[in-house]
Amino acid sequence: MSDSTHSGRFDQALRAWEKGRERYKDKLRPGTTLSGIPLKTVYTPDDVKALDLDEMPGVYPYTRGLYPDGYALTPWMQQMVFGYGTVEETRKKMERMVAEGMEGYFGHNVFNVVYDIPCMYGIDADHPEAEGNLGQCGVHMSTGDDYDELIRGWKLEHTNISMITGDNCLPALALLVAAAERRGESSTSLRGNSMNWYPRIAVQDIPSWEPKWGYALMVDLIRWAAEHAPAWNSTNIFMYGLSEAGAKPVQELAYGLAWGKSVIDAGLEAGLDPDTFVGRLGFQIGCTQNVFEEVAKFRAHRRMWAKLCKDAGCKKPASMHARVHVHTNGYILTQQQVLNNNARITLQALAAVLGGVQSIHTCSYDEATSIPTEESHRVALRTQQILMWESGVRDVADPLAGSYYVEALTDALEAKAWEIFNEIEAKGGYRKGLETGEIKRAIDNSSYEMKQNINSGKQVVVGLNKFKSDSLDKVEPFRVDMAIEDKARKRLESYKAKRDQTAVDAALEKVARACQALKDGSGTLMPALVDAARAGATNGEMMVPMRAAFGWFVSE
Amino acid sequence: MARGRVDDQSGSVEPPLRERAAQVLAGNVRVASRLISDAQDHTQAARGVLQYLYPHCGRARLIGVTGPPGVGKSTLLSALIGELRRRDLTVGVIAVDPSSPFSGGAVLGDRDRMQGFSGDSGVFIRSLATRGATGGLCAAANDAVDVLDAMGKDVVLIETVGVGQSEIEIARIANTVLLVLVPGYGDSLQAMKAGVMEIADILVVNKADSVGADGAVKDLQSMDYYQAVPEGDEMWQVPVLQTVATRGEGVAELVDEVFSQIEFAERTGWKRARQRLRRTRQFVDALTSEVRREFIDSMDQDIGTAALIRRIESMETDPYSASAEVLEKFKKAYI
Amino acid sequence: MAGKPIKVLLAKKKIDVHGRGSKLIARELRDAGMEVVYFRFGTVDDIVNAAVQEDVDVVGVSIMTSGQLHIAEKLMPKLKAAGMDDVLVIFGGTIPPVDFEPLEKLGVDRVFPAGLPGGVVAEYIRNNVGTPSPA
Repeated sequence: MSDSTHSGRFDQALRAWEKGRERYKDKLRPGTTLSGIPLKTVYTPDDVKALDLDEMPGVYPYTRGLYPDGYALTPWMQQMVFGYGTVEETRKKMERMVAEGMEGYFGHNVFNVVYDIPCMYGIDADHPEAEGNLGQCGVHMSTGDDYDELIRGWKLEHTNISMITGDNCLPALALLVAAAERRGESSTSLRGNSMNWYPRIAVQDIPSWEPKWGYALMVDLIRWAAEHAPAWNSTNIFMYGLSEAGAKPVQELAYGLAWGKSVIDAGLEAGLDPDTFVGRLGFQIGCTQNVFEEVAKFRAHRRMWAKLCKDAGCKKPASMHARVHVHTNGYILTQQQVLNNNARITLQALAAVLGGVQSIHTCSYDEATSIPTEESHRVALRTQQILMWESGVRDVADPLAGSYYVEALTDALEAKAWEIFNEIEAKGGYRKGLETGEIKRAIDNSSYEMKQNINSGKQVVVGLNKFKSDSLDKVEPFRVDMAIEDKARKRLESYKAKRDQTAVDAALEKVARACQALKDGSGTLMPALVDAARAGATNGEMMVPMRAAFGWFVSE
Repeated sequence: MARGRVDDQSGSVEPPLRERAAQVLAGNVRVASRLISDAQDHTQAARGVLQYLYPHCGRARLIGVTGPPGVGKSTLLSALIGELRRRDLTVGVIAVDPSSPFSGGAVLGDRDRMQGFSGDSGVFIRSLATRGATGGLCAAANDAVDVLDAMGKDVVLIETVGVGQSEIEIARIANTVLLVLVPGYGDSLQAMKAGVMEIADILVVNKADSVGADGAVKDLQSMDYYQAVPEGDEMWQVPVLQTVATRGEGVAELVDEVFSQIEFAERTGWKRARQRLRRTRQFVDALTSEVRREFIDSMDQDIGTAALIRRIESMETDPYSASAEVLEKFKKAYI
Repeated sequence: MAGKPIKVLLAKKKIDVHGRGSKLIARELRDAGMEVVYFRFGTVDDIVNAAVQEDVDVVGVSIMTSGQLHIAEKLMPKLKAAGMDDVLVIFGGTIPPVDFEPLEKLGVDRVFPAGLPGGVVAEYIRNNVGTPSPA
């Protein structure tokens, strides 16, 4: 292991080190990362010798972070997911979260609102299949009134609204736009996120659009937003979904980048200039408790994405920024000894901060059992606030840069990720992988592998397969009052009663025609949806012609 | 009250055989479903009920759907069911998946892809695992098809994954076999057994909106596949159809073609010939497995066979001579 | 492989976006030699129809977005009406432990917390399929 380029002192230290471990070194069992990268017990300058470490934060390819001084200018956004019941309950929650100090950049508001399943599928409160699911695990918002109430009193330029929709991304945006207009503001003042995450069906067992139309709808939203809402983030590359389904960090990285590339490619194919839309693609990435592997992943991700953007023709630096929201992985939480989850969540958030991400949602300790209670939700927010205000980790940008271990790991993860990425690209890319089920199979296999490792005890999960208790914690979960269902139905009823039904019907006709135009390449869809929202159409009503036109696909 | 399937040899829970048969003929789903399970388990009672049902078989159109993994068979099947229901026909589906050779278990996921029919009493979907036995598919699937046929289903669809023996065996049950491929099928065909193309009565190129679809269709058409009707000069030119199953495109045409083939088969005696072959095979398979079971069962009890095995082991005789010896005994005893 | 395989219906809510847990259980039960019909249900009737057509020994319901009590309330009487009350019924997924007892009172045989090895579920099934149910 001696090297002529070493300093004499390092050689000395190396030899002394080797001597010191002679006795027991054969008994050592070095670890492996979750991605399967074998680790050494000690990393040295030798491990980074061949690497290019001449980088600075805020400079291409952004390994060390998007901004020159990291979090010194403004800390990450605390973008806690919430949403249940009707818009009334969710509003109250919004106000409470703001009062609890939840903040975005520069102290602005940031709301990460999750819709209920009926909304995600485009089912209004009066639909038979909505029963039992209204306002559960998400907010039911489907009418113009709902959206008016959502944005009431918030200054749009200082409010980031992320809409965690399902397949109803386009109608939801249209409804938001119409609400802003009713307040006398234009869509250019909208800040926030559309999920626009069709490609997630590669790993999620739900029916959705056919791949051809799924991508066409994504591009339609991207195109419209680029023109009418330039401050709005049009797309969320939902890598979190990949890791939640079982992807190892390196797979999450590789397939996530392939996903992103497939979106860039779709936009370019549609004739869009990369600098008009690539910068508004955002990432939502998972994070496990494997701190160093996750940090390496975030760093590798930034430089890999920057390269892909450059290759795609982006010229503006901001177009090549990988803007990342971290949603801490839920799958690692246990139902057993729930309070243990706080330690896990803390590690996850720490990794995200050390990794230099832009926004974080921390899960709550009871989320393996139900959606959070008021208390557990607050504790999750406090976890971030403690990190932000007490730990000092945000004082220095990319603090782990230069670490022999972390730099070597970043490089190793990147190399392995490129391998997987190139393999899927050679087979036609993410889109093809979605159609053939290849991505799902690869990820399912990782999930199975992990379960076997947990079952055998090879992978330890405290409280589950080691240090177990005899009984489960009987924590009273958060429950959504079923009376909410009636409230949602009544809201819909009264809304429909005061609308101009003829105008709505005409507008929906237009939507159906626009769907056709999108299909035959002669037109776009969003403008017709915005018109329909202006006329008073609901979320569910707008999805009807869309579903008729764009098919329903169940992945292999 | 006991839990799980009850061994009906006890007779205390299941009604008498004739009554069970009557319930199946009347369309009782629970009884029919139970019968399919018992038939797969080779119970005496099941055979007894099947005897009563046999004369009522032969009305349903039997259609086999096979092809390599990933071509969208289940989606196509779903579309076919939809189209058949639109024509007011009742449908039974037997979806076959392979059992794990290691654990003996199976994940049967075809039902999941045929969403949308759970509320429809005109559709009966049953998943079957192959349970790894040679000829096992044939027996279990044959019986299941007969049950659905006797129940009064207008059409019975049999689906298997096109690897291993299964697609060949399907051709021995169905009167119309659809072989589903996709553009670029070349690679996946390697995975299938040789001779698989020969079983197709209709070739279907699914995902026809993909690149290369027209080329694939032309390729297949140029190969000019045909089926010769036994006992005669008639020939069925195997047509090549295109579908986009996710959108239901080409499915109505496919069903029309299926009925054309059925009509042709009935007119030319082809259907009768195929059914004769089917029943002959079923008879031989049943006889073979009965005999085999008899011998396997009696190996321990019958001193004769045990002694033979010892002689084979000690090289006093060989397996072939031993088997000839047994056959002689058999002939003398029974003929 | 002793005897005929146990047949399990593993029903997951169609709208539940995450299917990781139920897919794993399906695979693990297969590893334990069982035949698992894995499918996604919209209504409780879907579960019952599938259970009857597939003639299963076990009905397993996987829940991620609550509704467990609602579903159990409807499922148990419908299984009985369909002549399937000899079937073993198990629930699992994102179900709060405080609901385990109420679910069992509704007739569910056992509720499993998330994350258990499939072998544990398989063992329970093997030990309880074919045994008399509580009167």
